[in-house]
Amino acid sequence: MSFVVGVAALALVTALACALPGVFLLLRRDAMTVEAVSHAVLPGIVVGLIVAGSLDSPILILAAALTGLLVVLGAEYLQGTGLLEGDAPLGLVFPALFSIGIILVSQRFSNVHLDEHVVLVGDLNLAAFIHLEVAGVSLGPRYLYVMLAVLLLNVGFIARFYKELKITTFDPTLAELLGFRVRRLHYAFMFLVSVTITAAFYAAGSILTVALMIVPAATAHLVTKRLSHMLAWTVVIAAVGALAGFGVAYALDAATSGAMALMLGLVFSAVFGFQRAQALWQTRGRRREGRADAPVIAPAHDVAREVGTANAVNATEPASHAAR
Amino acid sequence: MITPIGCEAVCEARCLSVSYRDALVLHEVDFSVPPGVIMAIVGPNGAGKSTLLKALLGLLPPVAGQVEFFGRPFREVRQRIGYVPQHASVDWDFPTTVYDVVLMGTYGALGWFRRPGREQRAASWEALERTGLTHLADRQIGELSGGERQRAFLARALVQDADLYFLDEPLQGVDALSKHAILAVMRDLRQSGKTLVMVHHDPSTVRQLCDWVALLNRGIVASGPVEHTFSEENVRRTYAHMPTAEWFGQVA
Ligand SMILES: Nc1ncnc2c1ncn2[C@@H]1O[C@H](COP(=O)(O)OP(=O)(O)O)[C@@H](O)[C@H]1O
Ligand SMILES: [Mg+2]
Repeated sequence: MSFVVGVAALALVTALACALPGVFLLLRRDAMTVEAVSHAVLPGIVVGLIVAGSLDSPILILAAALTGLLVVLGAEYLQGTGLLEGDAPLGLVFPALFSIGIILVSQRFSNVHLDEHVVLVGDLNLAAFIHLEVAGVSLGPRYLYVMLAVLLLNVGFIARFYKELKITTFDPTLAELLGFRVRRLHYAFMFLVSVTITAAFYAAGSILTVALMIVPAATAHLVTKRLSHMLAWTVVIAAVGALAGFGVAYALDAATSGAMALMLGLVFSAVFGFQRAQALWQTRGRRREGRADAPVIAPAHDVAREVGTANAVNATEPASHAAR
Repeated sequence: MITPIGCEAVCEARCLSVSYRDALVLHEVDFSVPPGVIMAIVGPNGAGKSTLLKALLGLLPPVAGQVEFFGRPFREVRQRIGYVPQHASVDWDFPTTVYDVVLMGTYGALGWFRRPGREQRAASWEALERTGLTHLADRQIGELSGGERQRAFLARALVQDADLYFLDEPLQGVDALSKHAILAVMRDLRQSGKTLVMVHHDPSTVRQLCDWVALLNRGIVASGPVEHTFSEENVRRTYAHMPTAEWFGQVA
């Protein structure tokens, strides 16, 4: 596998591995938690590097993922005390862990090849640098296989617990009543998220990893009304964003992870803008027909929300079928 | 507590006290539901009606007291108990259709890992039919009106095929059509021997529909058959600290 193809493949696999759990994170309104975990894994990574010596070591990934889980548990503990509300507990825990990580990075231990820049945005080319060779044939970047394992882990978990993830995300109360262990599943899932973030860290850094997780799901959420479709669209959008980002970065000789996040952002903006325009156009059309007060169901749910619940109440109105 | 002679209560709470942090909402409530009735829980706003249901179902940890269903703890008989919350606090933008939401009612019986199959799908369609939502099955859940949402959550409880249903203000803010559909389903359920417990205010519906009533205001004021217990005197006591004259005008 040539170096360029290797980088592209790594970009693609990283984007997919991040985007899949992102669907549930978005629906659970856990985007802020991703942000926190992505910072909190840093001390785990540095300590893991000192011990294990290499960024693709499974020990390092597990150790860092556990640090990431610490922020989830710590924040939930603080929230349980009732002394802090909303995102404040998260905001209290993760900067502490992140700053420990940064101090460790800045110490420049002899075998820690990380700098503050990589910490923030990662370095895909660096991650793709060491190739796996078997009998003199390059099988692509070694790190590609780490990300591939994480991707498979995510696919496996979501496939196995699809029904459980769906019900605990949509209606945790019902899930609990029906006997599902909501908290246990939550921690298992957050551990997986933590593993994913840690693994993606090398390629995308802490800030862009968050974008890779949240933006494809947010875009897919705009255009779908079924969870299975949302997952499918998330995969498509993540793949398009990753490959387009890679292409742009290659052409401009820019950072791949940044270009990927930028492309995903552009796709989101395009879909969002298109839906806004469509909703506006529908309202206009109706006004021209002298039915300005007729209900509109805008395709984007957020638009529907903004236009008001009155729409939903009158959803039997045939005009609303235009949305589908 | 009065229950019909010779009948085991399907739900029995003894000395149940519930608090939110340090505010005690329910104080030593004794509560019992005889089998096969439609029971109304009546009380002023903030009386702790919703809190009582949640505590019975183990959604709120009680400070003290015990709850049993069919003579067993909740976790042993959870499949036999359905619940339709007051304001389903779900994300109405969630990418799921009405049909999918109803199907979720079957997840409990399936347990971990097993996927819904033909039987579960058939049950969901039947529940949609019974609640008059078949034509809306493919809608995103947020695109329903208040009454239709209420019916969807009732349908979800129906597919569970429970023996005891708790409904928290199922008729609040719903349109006439939905109200009729919901009442019809409730009568139907009683007919087939199920028990229903409903938080409800409207005195005329209580008299027409319910056999049993519990008057609640932070504690049980009275509980028993509607014709005896739902008296002017008891209702007045329940609403004691409220301006009741107007409200009671409707009851008498
Ligand atoms: N989550 C909560 N946290 C704190 N207090 C609550 C909470 N939910 C309800 N309460 C309080 O408990 C009391 C009973 O509430 P509730 O059971 O909802 O009353 P009802 O359903 O009879 O109108 C009210 O005073 C309410 O303010
Ligand atoms: Mg209530």
